[in-house]
Amino acid sequence: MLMVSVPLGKAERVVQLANKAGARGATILHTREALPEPKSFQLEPQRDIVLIVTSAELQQGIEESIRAGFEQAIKVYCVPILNSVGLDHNS
Amino acid sequence: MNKEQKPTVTEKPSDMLLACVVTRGKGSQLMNLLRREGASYAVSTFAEGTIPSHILNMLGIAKTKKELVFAFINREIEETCYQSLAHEMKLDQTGHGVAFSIPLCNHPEPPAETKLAATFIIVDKGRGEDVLDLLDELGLRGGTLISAFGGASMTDIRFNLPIQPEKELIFMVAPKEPLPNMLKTLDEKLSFSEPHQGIAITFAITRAIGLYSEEKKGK
Repeated sequence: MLMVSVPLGKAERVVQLANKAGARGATILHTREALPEPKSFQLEPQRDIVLIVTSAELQQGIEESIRAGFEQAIKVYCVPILNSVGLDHNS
Repeated sequence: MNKEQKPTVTEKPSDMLLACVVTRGKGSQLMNLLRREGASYAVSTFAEGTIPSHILNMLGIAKTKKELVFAFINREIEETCYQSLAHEMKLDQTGHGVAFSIPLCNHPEPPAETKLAATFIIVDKGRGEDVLDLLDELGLRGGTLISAFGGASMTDIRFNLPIQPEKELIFMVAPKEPLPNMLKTLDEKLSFSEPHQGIAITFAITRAIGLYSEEKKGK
């Protein structure tokens, strides 16, 4: 599973890029990010976290496609999956 | 891939995902704590906890407001992170929240055998309750509900208005043994193998703190 963090509103673009590279869907979470240094007044920029569940073969391609589609460096993390259900159907 | 990486607090790449569920309002404190410990990135989102209490459930107030924090850390700072979580957020006592670590793909030593596993179940909005009821029947309790968006069919534009499907994500930690059974039951009862019904995935957990257990129920 890929976890991609982008500024609020850019999630749709990530999903488009991922789908182009072969992903079959994505789930978006609206989150708040912690800044590296806490200030006296707290600012927490909003971020979208896009979860993309995909096979290990497609993962590299999707990651590269997302990175190439954005000007700035974005954070992409990959979490290995043990088991899954609901992904195998060929629709 | 030749893009410049943004400078992060830690130079070393993160290879652990630290997920924490705490009471709403404590998320920022937790994020700052983890950032101070050297987490490369931390985000939090609102979630709903489901307390495994039948009395509260009958009264319809079983849902508690929670905050879910995802932090990406390096395995070298994992120990200090857990220590400060136990010390400052009192996660070593039950009822204050839970935290657990999931190794990422670039972790050098993939976990051989772990006792615990985390489960993500993504279903359409409104079906989360059905999943929770089903899990309750199987004896798996204490899932966290998070509202999310998206799906296989993405934003549809009708009458000039973007329409985005709403989803519910259930996040739960459980022992590893009943999980194959759980996936099978979800498949049978909620027909996950058919398209657009939902997906369930599990992850290995290497370490956890603050988990609710049935033995401690009397406390």
